[in-house]
Amino acid sequence: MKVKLLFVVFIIFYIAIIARLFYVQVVMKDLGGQDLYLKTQNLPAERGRIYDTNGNPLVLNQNSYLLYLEPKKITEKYKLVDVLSEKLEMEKASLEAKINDKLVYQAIKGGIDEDKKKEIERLKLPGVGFEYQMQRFYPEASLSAHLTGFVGKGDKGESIGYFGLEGYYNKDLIGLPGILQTERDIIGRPIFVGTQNKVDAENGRDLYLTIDKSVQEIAKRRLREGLENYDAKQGCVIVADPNTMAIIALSCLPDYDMDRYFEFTEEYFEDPVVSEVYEPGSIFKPLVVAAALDAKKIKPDEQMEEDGPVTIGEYTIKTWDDKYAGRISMTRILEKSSNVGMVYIGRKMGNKTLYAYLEKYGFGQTTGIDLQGETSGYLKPYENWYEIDFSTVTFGQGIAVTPIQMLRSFAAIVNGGKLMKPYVVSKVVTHSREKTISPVVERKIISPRTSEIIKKMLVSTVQNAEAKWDMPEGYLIGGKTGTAQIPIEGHYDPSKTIASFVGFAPADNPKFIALVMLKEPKSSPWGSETAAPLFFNIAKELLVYYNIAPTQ
Amino acid sequence: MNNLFKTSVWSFLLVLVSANILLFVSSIGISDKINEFEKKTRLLHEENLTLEKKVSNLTSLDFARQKAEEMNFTKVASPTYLEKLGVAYQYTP
Repeated sequence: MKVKLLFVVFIIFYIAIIARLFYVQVVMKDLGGQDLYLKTQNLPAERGRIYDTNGNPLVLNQNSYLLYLEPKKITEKYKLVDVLSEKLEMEKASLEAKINDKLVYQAIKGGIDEDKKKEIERLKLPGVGFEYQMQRFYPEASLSAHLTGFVGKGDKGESIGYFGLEGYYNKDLIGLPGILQTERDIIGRPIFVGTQNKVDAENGRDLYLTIDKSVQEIAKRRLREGLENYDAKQGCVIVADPNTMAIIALSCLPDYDMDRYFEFTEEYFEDPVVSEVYEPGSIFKPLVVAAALDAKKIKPDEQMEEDGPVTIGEYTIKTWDDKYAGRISMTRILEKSSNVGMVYIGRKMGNKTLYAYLEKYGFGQTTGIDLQGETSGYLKPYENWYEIDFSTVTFGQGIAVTPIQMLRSFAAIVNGGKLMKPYVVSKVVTHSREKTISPVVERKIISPRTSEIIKKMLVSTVQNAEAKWDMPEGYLIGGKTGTAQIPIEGHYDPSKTIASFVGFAPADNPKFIALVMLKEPKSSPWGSETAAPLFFNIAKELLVYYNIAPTQ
Repeated sequence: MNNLFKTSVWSFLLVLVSANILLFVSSIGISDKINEFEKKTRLLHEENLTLEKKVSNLTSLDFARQKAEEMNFTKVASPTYLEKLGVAYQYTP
């Protein structure tokens, strides 16, 4: 009887357990009862890497750790603060104030490298742990700061690219995080027969650039020398393939350290090549001459009388040295950079034709280059132009352009007349496929014949320039100097200039075109004495690098 | 007959319990292995990034500059063009 009673009690308990299990696993399932053991883990995606045209890495990822504390597990707080403040280079007082004994988990500092992490782990401090993160690594340091941009944090603490390529291609680079859902027991072991759901992370796409790391180094090194030699406030060098407008090098100084971007103010981050406008000055002249030749408003062998200043309303336009050579050719106008000659050409073109070509060159519109922060510059509507504006624009004053617009237009007049869309990324690569970006012809500006004529004129401009330069021997190089006054509060400050030079080589079949700009050089305001020598120093190195033999 | 039935039932229950215990112990073992592999995968990934960083440092311009200094490469290098021998003949060191 007692045995039967015991048996009945066991059966009752057995049924109660089954009923409870049924309640928890079936009835409570949709109310989250099942989530007790279901652990969800984010699988972070690796941010895409950035390589130069030869596959050399410019931006990679590296291991990085977030140091956290579990305040409830700390045994010797003062010793911990002493040691950590030294290792993490933090103030003792601020670290001590940060630690909140009531919290279970507290993040202290991120961006800790592997060596530092191992150093701290060796100390076996209770209550100290590390969480894995990834951080950007720049093998070439800030060789291409304005080009690449940097990775910072968004509002929710997520990694976001800012400026340059990191900003423009953020969606491609960021990838998609994955998710791992597993049922785990109380000590974190996966329950083998439980739920296992996994969605793999999709790493960010890698970018292969048109940039050549070696040319970038040449450009930046020479630019730094130029800024020191000529005591300039700021400078930029852009090198491109004139036939495709693939950007080979882009460097501006001063720049910033991408690893420590938070120590710099925002003015350092913007790339002046795409984000700043300036009045180009005399380097604009060849564009107007090419347009006039193309529109058949002037002939290559035409001559004009340069017999004195030109008066337009209340304004007087003189040559830069107030010297007048009498009867001169169109080529001579460029050689001596005559403003009076340019006004003549502008008048022969007519205002409507001149304006139409300015629009054709793409001024007042963005170029579409794949860098974040591009501005369009400003081209006043035709109706708002005064007579003086049509005259001053012929020598590059009274119009605001970006350096990339200027280089693109110049490339168009030497490559046979095609306005190309500038680009920096040549390939976007995922683990399964590659997308190649081809050069894009926006439109034709001038005819190939006009392009050949203007190239010859520009070679003559370099050979017969007022200034004598240390040019590479045996090469035909074309180019134009520019010295533009900077407008300040409605007038021009004669002591402050933007000195520039744009040149291409070898002239018969240009392999590269480069724009050199120096802002407010103190040693001399003239482009012929600052930007031009800097260009020829760069050109010498590039001719050797590209193995281009002399032809003369 | 009754005894045979009872013995069969108890044997069957014993086999079930043993199988359950074996399965449970094996699943713990496999879970431990899963944990171990997860840890190894994480460590391999970190090691990959470390190695990639080391390789990129070896191909960097800074490293090239260091090696050039160690090997006494001169700063000035005048190119000699062998394609155009006339130019090469004119070269005087």
